[in-house]
Amino acid sequence: MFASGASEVRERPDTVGWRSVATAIHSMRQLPMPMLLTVVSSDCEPLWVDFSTGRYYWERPLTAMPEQPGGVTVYSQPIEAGNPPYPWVAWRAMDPLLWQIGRYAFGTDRATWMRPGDRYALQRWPNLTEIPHSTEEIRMIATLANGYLTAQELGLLTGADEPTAQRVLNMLSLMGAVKPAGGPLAPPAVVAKVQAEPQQAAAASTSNFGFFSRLRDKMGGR
Amino acid sequence: MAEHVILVVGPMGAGKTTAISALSDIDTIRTEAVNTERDVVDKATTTVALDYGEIELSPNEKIRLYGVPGQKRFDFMWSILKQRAVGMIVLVKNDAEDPVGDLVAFFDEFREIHERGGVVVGITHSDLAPRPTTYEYQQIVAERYPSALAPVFTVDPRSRDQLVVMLSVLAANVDSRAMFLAR
Repeated sequence: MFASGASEVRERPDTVGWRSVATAIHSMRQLPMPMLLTVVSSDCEPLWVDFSTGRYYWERPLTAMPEQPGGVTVYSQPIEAGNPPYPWVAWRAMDPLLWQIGRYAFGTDRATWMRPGDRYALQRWPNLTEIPHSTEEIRMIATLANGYLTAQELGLLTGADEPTAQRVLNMLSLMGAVKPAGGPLAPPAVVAKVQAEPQQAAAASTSNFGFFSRLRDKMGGR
Repeated sequence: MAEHVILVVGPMGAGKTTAISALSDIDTIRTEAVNTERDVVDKATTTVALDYGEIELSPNEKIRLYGVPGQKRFDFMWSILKQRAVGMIVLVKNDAEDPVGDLVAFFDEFREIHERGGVVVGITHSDLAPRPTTYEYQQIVAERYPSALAPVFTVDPRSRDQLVVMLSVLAANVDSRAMFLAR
């Protein structure tokens, strides 16, 4: 099942929380070879993430994911392309797992791989019918679909505070759903417009999403 | 009275009629007839004219949902409706013979709605056919139509909650696009 020479498993230091897991996932997504990540914690069952197929296996439902697991150790090992590991278990799509890890890993701090002031834009929508989300998060994702923004600008346009906007950027970045701007980029015109009238910024963020807000009021949704 | 016309399109058997029924405030006005294409979809009846539903947002604001016939021979209706539409939900049946071809055909036909940022794609029957995945669909759409980013979700057309998510995303996209384009 595992690639030849893959018997050496590298062990990482024990930690508390999802930070080390998120950092390992992000770095592994950059690797060109197929990898399997195993997370062991004193608080829950082993978690496997197969980057070759974009799936994970965990006996525990995501709704029971601890916010701060203890004694976390992360193992990584290369696997054979086209020969996914453990075919007898029920693997599931990875997005909901990464969304949840991204929510807990850094709180409202910036993810370790993101730089202050960098602008991000959406490059694919997460599958929101399978991911628990809030109205505010839909608003932020739709905003990122239309321009490159910093966390501060994202908050400004959507009426969210900057730490909340940063957390959503962390979650989307861990999933590979946002891309950073390739270089220095001026803010979109709408940002300058709202910044020029700060007293109207909060009202603008509501009125800018009028159709959406009225629909959520009518149909429900957090 | 403010009105928002939203089309629900997709091939035969994708769940358009079911989806409109799940969302509509009123009893859906439904026109069905005997399916003459049983070799394509084994379904006794299919939509041959418009399905229609409504969502009343306020006494002065309404969403009109039109289920557009899936068969190509009814495409004369598409051109009439797409001029009025602010958005579109495309339902793709993942266990169809060529689901990617179906999606591309509807995107081509309704390109101007897509370019206005008002399209959401729902993949139905993914429990029967897990591939193509939402990720694979998004890559295909992004390569062929780079001007706007289309959300692609898995959906059970009987699930009102999932359809509300799709409709909400469509509305948020329309609002967001208008905000960025406003002078």
